[in-house]
Amino acid sequence: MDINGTVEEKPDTNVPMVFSVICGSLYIILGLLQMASGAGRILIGTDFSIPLAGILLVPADLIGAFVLLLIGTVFIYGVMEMRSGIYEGISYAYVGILLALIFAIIYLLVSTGNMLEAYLLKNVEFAGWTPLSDMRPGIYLAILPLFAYIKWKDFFEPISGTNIRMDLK
Amino acid sequence: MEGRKIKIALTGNPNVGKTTLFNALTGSRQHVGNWPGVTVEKKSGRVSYKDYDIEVIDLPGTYSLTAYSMDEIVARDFIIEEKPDIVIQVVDASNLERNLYLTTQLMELGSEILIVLNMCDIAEERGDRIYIEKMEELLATPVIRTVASQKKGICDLLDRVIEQKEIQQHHGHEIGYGTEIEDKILEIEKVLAEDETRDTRYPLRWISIRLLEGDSNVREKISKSPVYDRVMQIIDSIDQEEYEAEIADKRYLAINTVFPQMCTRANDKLTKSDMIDRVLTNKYLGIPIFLALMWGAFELTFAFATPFMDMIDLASTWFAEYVSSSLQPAWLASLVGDGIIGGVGAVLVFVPNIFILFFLLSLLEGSGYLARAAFIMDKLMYKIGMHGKSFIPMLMGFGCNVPAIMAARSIEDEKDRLITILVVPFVSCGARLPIYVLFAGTFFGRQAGTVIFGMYVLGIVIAIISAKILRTTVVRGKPAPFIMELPPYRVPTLKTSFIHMWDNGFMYIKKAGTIILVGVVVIWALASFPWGVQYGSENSYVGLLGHAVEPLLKPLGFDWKISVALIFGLVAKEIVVASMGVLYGAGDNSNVLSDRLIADSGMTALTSLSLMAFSLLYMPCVATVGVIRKETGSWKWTLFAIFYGIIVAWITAFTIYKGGVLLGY
Repeated sequence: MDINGTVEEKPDTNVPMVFSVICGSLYIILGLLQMASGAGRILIGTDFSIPLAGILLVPADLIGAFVLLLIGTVFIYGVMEMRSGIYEGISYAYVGILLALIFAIIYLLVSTGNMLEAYLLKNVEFAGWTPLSDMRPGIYLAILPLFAYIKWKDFFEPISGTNIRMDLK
Repeated sequence: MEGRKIKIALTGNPNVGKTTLFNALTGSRQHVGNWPGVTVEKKSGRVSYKDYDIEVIDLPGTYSLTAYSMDEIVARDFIIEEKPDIVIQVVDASNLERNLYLTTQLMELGSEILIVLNMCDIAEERGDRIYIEKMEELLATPVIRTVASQKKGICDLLDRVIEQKEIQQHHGHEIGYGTEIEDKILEIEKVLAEDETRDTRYPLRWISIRLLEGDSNVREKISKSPVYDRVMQIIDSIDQEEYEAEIADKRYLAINTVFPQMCTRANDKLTKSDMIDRVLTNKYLGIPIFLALMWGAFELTFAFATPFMDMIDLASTWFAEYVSSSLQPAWLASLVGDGIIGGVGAVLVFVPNIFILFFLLSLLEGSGYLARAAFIMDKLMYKIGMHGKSFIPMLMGFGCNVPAIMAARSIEDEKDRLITILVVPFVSCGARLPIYVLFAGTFFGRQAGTVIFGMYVLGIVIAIISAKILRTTVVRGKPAPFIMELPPYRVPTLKTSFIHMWDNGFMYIKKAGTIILVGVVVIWALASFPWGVQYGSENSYVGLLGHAVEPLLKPLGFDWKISVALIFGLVAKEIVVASMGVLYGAGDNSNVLSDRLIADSGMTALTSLSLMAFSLLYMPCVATVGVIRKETGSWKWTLFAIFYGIIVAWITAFTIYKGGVLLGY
């Protein structure tokens, strides 16, 4: 990491912008797929399925779809601001990362509960449950934001006593 | 040891850490939250230090000592009337300039002040520098640095308290308000001094200034004075608004004069708080993000708690079987097995949900997000006739309606406050959660978390619609403008969150051992008598009672058993589940209860939805009714709250049930 920005000269936002485009698009595409699965299940019936949804482990869950679309929108909103030259648009990348991680943690905790039901309590309702049963886009899509969070943790920290920020490399 | 006693009062702006300091001083576990207005009533605690018995009083936070809201009056009256030895003003070091306004007013009160600079870590992290010695010199007041959350500086503070008490060296502080206002102050002081019966606890100069500022509370306090009319003649001769503005200007002028000498501020930077706020308070994204986070919290409350509920179920089933098989005679085994274990156990099984819900609410509160929730909802709230600040009591209502109604004290406008008090009972509290978990878990399977979330949203929607109706009918008027300080985001400490979770969760367990226990014994007795009838049958007293009420609730899809459960739920909402446990003879096993509910032909997913909605909205519990009476001071409004709730609940449940039937469910 290099220090290369000042108050007047804001750091380059190209890297977080590209990252936000990728993350935002993925979340929105899978959110729409999940939305279609959920809506199809309600409107057409339980037999409805989208082939791609099965491969990508997309459940028929409308609220989950709303969450994915929301996270994707946060990333894209930031892209729009950064493209307009508004440096503060990186806030959307930061919050998008946080939201992606928060919801992934929620899904993982729910999955942990199911694991306890299946393996510890041997609940018949969970017979045949495997960790893959609860795998969903909200979990695996968060891997990218997780790496971004670890790598760019300092990027979002203002440097004490100055207005200089770390730039992404 | 009389001389070894010291009474200190903690005052300061809202959300500066007074209660955190109170807890650090006294070892108490009073609730702290990262938003303004957590403390609405003064709290007292003690600390023994170096042979001194120090009584510490935590006062509600106030921005000034005017009398615009109830918490300001509580704080002001205590300082004046109880005359604590030392008034400790807790100051947010990261917001020093604004906090000094209250300092100027405390000084005018003639109190012995000690300033505690709290949250220095946040100020320093931002790059601010505060020159404590210069501050002490300029304000002629001792200043101590603390980080109360980490218990840093507590001993220094206590040493200075003792030192201050011992030296008893009082510094008079006065702000000059300019010749014209000073003349009026003197004129009023002279007239007031003629009244020999006056309350000498109130400094004359302070009363005079307050009267010039148009303080109705002070005006009322002197209304019985023989010189009242003469004082009012002086007051009526001035342009009060102009004087009030001028007095405030002079105070800020004094602050602006001393502030640059005692503090240097770092250049404004885009902090993490700013970054998060930019998104979470975005006018398009704010509300969807809030809804998504709340859904996440309720999904976890249900799904993550389920295996722990099952573990409690397994343990208590074993216990129930052991107790029932060991007890003789049969009626005693029935009382313990069907009544106590069946009823109380049915409630206790939901302890994991309650603990998880309170833990998550504490995380949201401690992070500072709940204050943002009020901010993002303000525009919507204003449109429907509610004050933005009302949203905080509503969110607090997710935990318990009683403190939520009390939190409405921070709302200045009486009409805004009354509307808030009347609609808070519609917000779903922790006690209603077991009802949702039982019925949503039984009839909605994997979608249970979403159904529970829907119930919480329904509560908020009904509260908002009710506010609109009330604002356009019985409590007419426009809501007052909303000004609220947004606290910085903080990473909530696990310790605080666990304490909050434990305190509230334990309250639930305690309730199960007291009021719910009594309730289930009564239900068991009604289900067992007259002697000889089949337990819980239609011929028992409970059956007769249920059948008497059933016609009123039949249109909602409820049979006599649900009717009985709802009647007993008036005492405490948890009893609804406890009653079902007793009436369905399910023991304490929630899985058995679920199976029996499914087997009951009268119970369907639609009926359960109607029942959840009715339980959410109908009359609040006895404790909530009590606090509505206390806070409104009116039986009329209390009865209104009760009947309004019942009517709204009936209409909503009827709409759900009949709507569902029409749609073919």
